[in-house]
Amino acid sequence: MSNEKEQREQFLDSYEKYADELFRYCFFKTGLRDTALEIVQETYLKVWVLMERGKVFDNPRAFLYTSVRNSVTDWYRKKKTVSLDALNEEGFDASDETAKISPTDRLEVERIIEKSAKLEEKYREVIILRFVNDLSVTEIAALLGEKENNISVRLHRAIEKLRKIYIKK
Amino acid sequence: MKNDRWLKKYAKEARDIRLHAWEKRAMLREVMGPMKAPSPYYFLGTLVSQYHKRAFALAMAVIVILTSGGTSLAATSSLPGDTLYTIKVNVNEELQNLVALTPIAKAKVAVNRTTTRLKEAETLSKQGRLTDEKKDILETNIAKHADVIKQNVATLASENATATVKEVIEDLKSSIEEHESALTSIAATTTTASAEPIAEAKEENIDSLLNTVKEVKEQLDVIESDAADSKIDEENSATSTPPAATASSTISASTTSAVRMR
Repeated sequence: MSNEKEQREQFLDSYEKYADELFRYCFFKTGLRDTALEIVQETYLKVWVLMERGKVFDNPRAFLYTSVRNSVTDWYRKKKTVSLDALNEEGFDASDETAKISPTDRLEVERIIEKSAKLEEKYREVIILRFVNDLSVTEIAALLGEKENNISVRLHRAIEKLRKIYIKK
Repeated sequence: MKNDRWLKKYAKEARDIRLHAWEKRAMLREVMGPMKAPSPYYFLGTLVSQYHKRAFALAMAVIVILTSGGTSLAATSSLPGDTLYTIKVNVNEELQNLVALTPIAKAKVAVNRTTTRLKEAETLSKQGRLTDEKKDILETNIAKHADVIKQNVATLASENATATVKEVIEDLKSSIEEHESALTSIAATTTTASAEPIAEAKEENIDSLLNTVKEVKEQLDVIESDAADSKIDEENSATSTPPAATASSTISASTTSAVRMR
């Protein structure tokens, strides 16, 4: 009984702490608010189901990030097949990315995401993880399955590129 | 690293992107809610993306309205004792009452409802299905409608709308008379047709209903004469007690006593 309560508290704690940053990470990766929401929700649902089955998470944050990242990758894959169909049927304009962003998201998107979108995906990702969401280089390396050294180098390059984009305005 | 200021600014701006408070709450409910007690309709949630829920809810609402519209349509022809009769009286007719905004409209709706009750009594007795239970239902409802008429007529009288009061009362009286004679003839035929106890019970029921109707009619006469009096009073003197107050108080006094009598 107390174990169940503990579980609940642990889950709520991880939700309170990480839901926003996970959402942000997704939003930056997909550029779509609704998609980001869905992915984050799916992920927490998965975690909750696992917890109810008795799984204990030593590092819920790491698990959440990995899970979210996998979902984003899946989403990209699905999106590609979908837009390919659209391309065949409707021609080239249909896959125009900016057209899919809803007007309410525009403000946020225009301000920062569009700027960030000019960064290549691999640079954008490390910038968000390291400087916006405050993950350590070690954590990022674990998440991306790469060496810490590689991550550090990539971060340096990413900063240089972002500086050019961001300061130019 | 000399990235510092601009990078901090960038990070700060980017951190503004977060879940809205309501999104955060809604999401938590979505995640933990169904886990606590799995809903048998949970599969619906997987068919519909969580963020198209509003559209889904709207569609469901339309479906409910359409299907329940069918139910209430079917209910309109139901009789006391039928399953749908409660819907007819408490939903369909109550809705008409809600839509009617002015005292005149409300009184007219109540008059129509009384007429409907009388028609029902007629149909039931013709089919030989007017039992004690059904008679009670009809009588209670007629009393309720009479109350509504009473209240609204009082309001009308206080507004000195004597012409309208008269119109409403005439409507009700003519409809009562029409059904009264129909019921009486039915009562007469049942008595002559058979002397069985069941038929007697039915006859008693018809009589009882007729009494109720008569009481309502008597009340109406009182109201009518009161309204006429108040009009005369008003014409005669402006200094005496406000005629409207007299009229409405007499009406309520007479009607409540009549209702108590039953």
